[in-house]
Amino acid sequence: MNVALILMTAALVVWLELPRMLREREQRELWGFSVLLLLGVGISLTQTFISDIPTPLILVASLLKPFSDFLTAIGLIQ
Amino acid sequence: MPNVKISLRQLTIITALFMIGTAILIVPSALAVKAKQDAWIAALIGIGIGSLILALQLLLSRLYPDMNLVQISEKLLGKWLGKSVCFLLLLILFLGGPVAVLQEIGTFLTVQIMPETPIQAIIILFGAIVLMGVRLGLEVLARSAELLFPWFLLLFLSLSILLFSQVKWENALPILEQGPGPLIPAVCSFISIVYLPNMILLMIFPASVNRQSEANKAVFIGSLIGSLILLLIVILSILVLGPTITEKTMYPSYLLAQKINIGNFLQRIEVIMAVMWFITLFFRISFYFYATVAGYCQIFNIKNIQPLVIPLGWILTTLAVFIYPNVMFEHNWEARTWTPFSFIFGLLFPLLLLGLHGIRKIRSKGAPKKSRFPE
Amino acid sequence: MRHRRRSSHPVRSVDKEKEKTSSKPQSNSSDVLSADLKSNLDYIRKTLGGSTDIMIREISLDEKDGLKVAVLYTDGLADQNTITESIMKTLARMVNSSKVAGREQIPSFDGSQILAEISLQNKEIQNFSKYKTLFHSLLSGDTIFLVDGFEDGIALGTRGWKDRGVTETSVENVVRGPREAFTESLRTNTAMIRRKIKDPNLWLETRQIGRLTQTDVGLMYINGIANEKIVQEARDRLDRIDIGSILESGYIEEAIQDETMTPFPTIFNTERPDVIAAELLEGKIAILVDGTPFVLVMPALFVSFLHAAEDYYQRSDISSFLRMLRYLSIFISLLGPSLYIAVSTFHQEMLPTQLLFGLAAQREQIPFPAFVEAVLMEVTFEILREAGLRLPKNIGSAISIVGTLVIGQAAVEAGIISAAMVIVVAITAISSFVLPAFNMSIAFRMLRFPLMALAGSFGLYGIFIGATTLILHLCSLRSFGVPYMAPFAPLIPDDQKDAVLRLPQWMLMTRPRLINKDNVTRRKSTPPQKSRK
Repeated sequence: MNVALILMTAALVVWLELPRMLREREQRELWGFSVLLLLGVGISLTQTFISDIPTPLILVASLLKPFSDFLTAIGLIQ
Repeated sequence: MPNVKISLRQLTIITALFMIGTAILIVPSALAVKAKQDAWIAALIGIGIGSLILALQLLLSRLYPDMNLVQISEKLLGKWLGKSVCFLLLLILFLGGPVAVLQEIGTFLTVQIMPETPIQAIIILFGAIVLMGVRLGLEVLARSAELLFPWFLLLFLSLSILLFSQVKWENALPILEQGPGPLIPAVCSFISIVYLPNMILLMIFPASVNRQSEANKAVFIGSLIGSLILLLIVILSILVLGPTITEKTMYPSYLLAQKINIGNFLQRIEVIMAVMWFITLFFRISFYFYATVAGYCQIFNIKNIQPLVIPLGWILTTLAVFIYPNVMFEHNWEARTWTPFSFIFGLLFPLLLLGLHGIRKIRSKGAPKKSRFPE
Repeated sequence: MRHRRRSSHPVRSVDKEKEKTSSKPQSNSSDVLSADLKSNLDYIRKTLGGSTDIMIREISLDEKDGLKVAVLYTDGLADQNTITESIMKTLARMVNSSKVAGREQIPSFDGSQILAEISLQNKEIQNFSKYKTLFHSLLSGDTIFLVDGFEDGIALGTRGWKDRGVTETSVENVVRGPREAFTESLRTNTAMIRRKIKDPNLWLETRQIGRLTQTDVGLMYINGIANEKIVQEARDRLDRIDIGSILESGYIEEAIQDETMTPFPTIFNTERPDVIAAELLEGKIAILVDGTPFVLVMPALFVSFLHAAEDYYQRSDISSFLRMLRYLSIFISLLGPSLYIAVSTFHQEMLPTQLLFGLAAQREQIPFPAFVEAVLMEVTFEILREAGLRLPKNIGSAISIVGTLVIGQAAVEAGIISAAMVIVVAITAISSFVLPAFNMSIAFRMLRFPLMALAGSFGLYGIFIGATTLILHLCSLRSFGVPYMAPFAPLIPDDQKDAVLRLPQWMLMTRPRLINKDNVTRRKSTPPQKSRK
């Protein structure tokens, strides 16, 4: 049921935007649009099937950990 | 990049609303945790230092008028390095900025006002209007901001005036009980929430304003309005609620609104006050989102941002549902990771760019003295 | 047979419009008149299908030589008196004079003399050689005069038909101010506007729009005050219309408006000449359509729909108060039921305790949730209102009283609706009529329903979402290039003097800034002088 809803919304979005983009032959926009839409639909679908997705913020946190530790050591943050 | 023009007044209002954004909900508590009853002093100092940092960011914009952030970084760092750095920064900003704030709204509403409503519905609705606003364009967002700002002011001023009778001055004492030490993390917290993310607005305003020279002044005035309003909220929180409650509550401003009581008739109108925060949160997310979309389009040389808004908005809404698994994570993230990141983005990045600008200038002029901040 | 070609007089209508609309090929071999009167008349009769209200009179001026002329007119559209006086009597005089002069004079009696004589006696003359022009003039009420042997004919202006005459305004009533309204005749309407503005710079352009109806459409503006770009834009949009019929200005409005996917009107209409004159003086353009008293004005901004003509005739403090009342009623009419639903369903804590008890007691007995109740009442009211428009005048007021009082009362007593809901719906409904412009008030009435749905699902948050969507939508509208929400957003401080408040006339020194950038100053400001004692 959720899957159907997601796919229908995706179809709606495509119907809204695609004709104009094709008409004006905006190549880059078409690529960006498709990539992002696929990404969005992908995340939504994954969410319906797996309820406990890890948040991408964990990656970012580990990326910034050294700097964060440095600032804590100085005492700028807690 | 779409060629829109927004007026100076609209720029001021945009800056003010952007700064107030989430801060109005979380700043009193964030400051009180660290500085207790001296939170207002921390805010005051924060305004001072923050303004200096803002001046730094605006300097970058003044040196390269008519170029937005990505274009400046491309010019100074070279095309590929500039694009990649911006890509990474914008990615992290996107995750920690609009997505996070969107979840904030969901959490706020689910916790305080409508506990029985599923958070996805709230987030989807808000995401939908943000999407609509950004898709209609910057001009429409700016005009809506101009329309809604007086209402925000009306609600805010009525909040302050109605609460005035409940102020207990002794809540601010003793002043500087533990010395200036605890103020430092508080000030850093303030700056990181309020002033540092302003860097992203460099994506919007250089290319979009009528008179370049007066634009900086407009942004400055906007920032002053925004931070003064925040200062007022902090002061009210401390004076009316007291430092312990402020520190322990998630949303002290909401508690403030609950306390309004005029003649036992006008009471519990906190939901109307909540509209005030809806307005600021809406514009914060909208401009955050708009700036990130514009940034990505600039990185990939995409001329028209409109078709990309809906898919990115979709990603925004989907991510917002699970971006913070729980409140503990949220607090940890905000203190430990977001603050350092905002320092990188809002302070070190512009410093780097300005330094590179200085080096360029010296190379082209061949001057013997090396100065960090030219002219 | 003598053939003469006459140079054509300047044509009254835009020629290229004619060419475009003659898309249907004529079944005739040619579309110009021939010199032979008989073949002309045969063709005319065939095209008109022998319609019995088109009078074709063939007159033989001279029994011997057989110089024939033909007079054609449409009975009912052409004024009989004018035809008799200027055409028939002239012909009779000429025939008599030639008879008196004697038979020898007859060869010198030729068609060109007749045409010259007739032309002198009539007020509007047009030479033509195409059938298109002939039919257009004939069916507009002109009299066609054809002479055997000539390839040209004359159309004489004899228009005169029964119309309604200038009456009182039916929809836009004022307490103080002129009461006359436009009529269905284009010429009468333009005359009424000219009576208000006697400046030579008030210019009128006419065109015929509509393939089958060939409706006269007039474009009026004050040269020098109106923005030339907007005028040109209006002209282009009018010329681009390709439609079968124009029966009312609403057709034109739909064809030239900026946005179709919006409930908000971007073109203003009115039946009052004083309003049109005021708008023209502000630099706007008026489009008049023959056949309807409602004249279009563009560009139209949001504030135009909230201003009444009376605001300028009454004192400024009264008008300011009334204007603010109008803004308040927009809020009430839009948000009334939604607020009630939101507060009673989600945010009961906002109500004072006494009120809360009363409300809870009422709602206890109602089987429906507040939202369903509200929708029921609102839909019923809309039905009643719409029905009230169509009822004959004598039953009208009785039914509305029956409808509102009795049905409402009965519904409350039957326990279907709570009394508070009746009050809310009644106040909302009445405040929606405060707006002087019908098209704007109906937009708000329609939008009430989605807002109620949002309020019923999400409370005040839902109302915020709905309101923000509305604001975003309003801010994205433009009317002929001018932002719809000006002067509120973008904020124009100078224009605020006439937006929510109506400051005294001596303070209103400038015209709306975005409509005309150049000619902004209206007058010098001189405050009223008190007499010195």
